[in-house]
Order: sequence, then structure tokens, then C-alpha cells
Amino acid sequence: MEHTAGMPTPEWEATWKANANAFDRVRAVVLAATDPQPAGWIADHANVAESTARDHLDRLSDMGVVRATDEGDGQQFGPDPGYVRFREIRELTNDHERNELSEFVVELKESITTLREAYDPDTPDELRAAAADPDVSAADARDMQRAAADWEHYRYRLSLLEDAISRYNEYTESATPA
Amino acid sequence: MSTPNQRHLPERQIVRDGGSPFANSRHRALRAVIDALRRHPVVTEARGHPPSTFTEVRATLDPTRWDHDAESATLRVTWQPISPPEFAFHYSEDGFDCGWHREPNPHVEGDAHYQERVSDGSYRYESISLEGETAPELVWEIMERLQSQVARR
Repeated sequence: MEHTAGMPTPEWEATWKANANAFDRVRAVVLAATDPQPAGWIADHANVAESTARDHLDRLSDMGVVRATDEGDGQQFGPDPGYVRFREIRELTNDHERNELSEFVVELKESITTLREAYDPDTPDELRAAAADPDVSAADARDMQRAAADWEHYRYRLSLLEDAISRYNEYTESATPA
Repeated sequence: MSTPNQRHLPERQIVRDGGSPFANSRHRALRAVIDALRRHPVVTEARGHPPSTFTEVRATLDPTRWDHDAESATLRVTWQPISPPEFAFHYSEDGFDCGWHREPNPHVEGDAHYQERVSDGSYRYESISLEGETAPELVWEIMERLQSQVARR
């Protein structure tokens, strides 16, 4: 038992393949990519041939799930920000009543206020810049980066909630109006 | 039904178009974790928690699907979208908990480690290296390691 947890378990790729097809794996990898990536990189991580990745990425791009860009260094693929945003809004409006969403807004604002009171800078970007100051210790810089990430996260979620609340009826009306 | 009036608040303008490139990073990572967990055969439910701030993922597992009998098997996942990303996948069942974390920890060398609760209530730590890089790869890899780990119990 002592030295087992760190052992690699190469079977994980087979389990993934058994439970998610090539399209699903390409979609999962491109939506999780931190930065836009070329088809070859996505293929490697999704465990598919590059031609397969390319086909699926083209289809995902047609569907508005993926955004393809080419800034002179070849085509790159990343999640479409509008798609990413709408998925979250849809989850909020599907799972919650409008008044619950309003309560979430209050909780988020409280979380933002707590961060704002804990740090001098007024925005997450300024906090990130302050963390990069050479006079700040590595441990403090890490805490400040984490706090900046928390702050960005809360602000993004607040913007999703505001959208979900203001268009709640549009987003929840039945597909076939009476 | 109350629709809050918050038009005067400054955050509203700043975040209108999603803000900086970091703005949705944690949402995307946690959503990718939820998507992957919902496909995993041992997971019965996975969602963002708490629903207001969505700071982590909580999943309910049915380990009898791994022929492991345990009460209240759950997995919690947190993710910090800093560079490189830090995360923790922590499993709990009645009387036992363990986790695969990538974040600095004073008890082990390197960033990635496994930790497991031992009989005196403290943790034992083990430095590890993970193959997966993206969130879905890490979910499948860590769930595989979890399966081997609970099989030994």
C-alpha cells in the first residue's frame, strides 16, 4: 500500500475512450484548453488522429462551440466565449427560479466585498500586477494571484447571473409557445 | 420575485463583455471537470457548489460499481486557474479520505502529491507525477487512480 498511490495507471485512457467517443474527447479537450491550440495538440490530448481532430473541430466551429483563429502561425482552436457563457446561463436558468438567482447575486457581491476589503488594489488586474512586484514574497504573490483569480471568477459569475435574471423569461419559455 | 437594481454598481460595466482573458478560466475548468465526471460510470451526480459562487465541483459516487462497498462516497474538486493551474481532487467515504492535489505543500517535494488519512487522523503524503494536462485528462486519470486505491481497501 505504501508506494502505490503515485504509480501511473495507464488504463485511464482506455476507460476514457470506452466512455467518450472521439468527438466527445475532442470537444472536452478544446473546451478545457487554457489557450487556443493547433489541431495537432488537441489530437494528442484527446487521443485521436489529427485528421479526426480537424474534422470534429470544423464541425464544432460550425456549431459555434469552437472558435478557430489564424494569426499567421497556423490555425488554432479554442472555446467560443459566447458558447461558454451561454452554457452557464442556461444551467442557471434551468436549475433555479429567478428569485434564487437574485439571492446568488447578493452572496457573490458579499464575496467580492470581502476580497476588496482584504487587498489594496481595486481590480483583479491591478492585484495581479501588484503580485508581480519584485518586493512581494513568493508566498504572498501566490496568495495575491489566487485572490485575483477568485475575484475574476466572482465577477464573471455575477455577469452571468445578471444576464440570466434580466432575460429569465426568454431563456425559460417553452420551445412551442401556446 | 425580486429583480435587484444594481445598475449603479461599477462591476457591471467592467464585466459586461466578460472582462480580461482570465475571466472565465475557472468556470471553464470546473465545467470541464463536471462534463467529464458526468460521463464516468462510477459518478451518479456532479455539480457546481455552492450554486451561488460555484467555487468547486461536488460529485456523488456509487463505488459498488467498482465492487467497493462504502457509504457516502463523494469527490470534491477545486481549481485555481493560475500558471500553472493548481487543483485538488479529494475523495471521502465513511471513515476514509484521500486526494490527488497539485499545489505547493510543505510536506512533500514537487507540486503534485497524493495524500491519505491515516489511523491517527493525520495525513500521509506521497509525491507523484500526473500524465494528464487538461482538465478532462486529469479527471479520467485521477478517477483511475482512485479506483485502484479503493480496491486496496
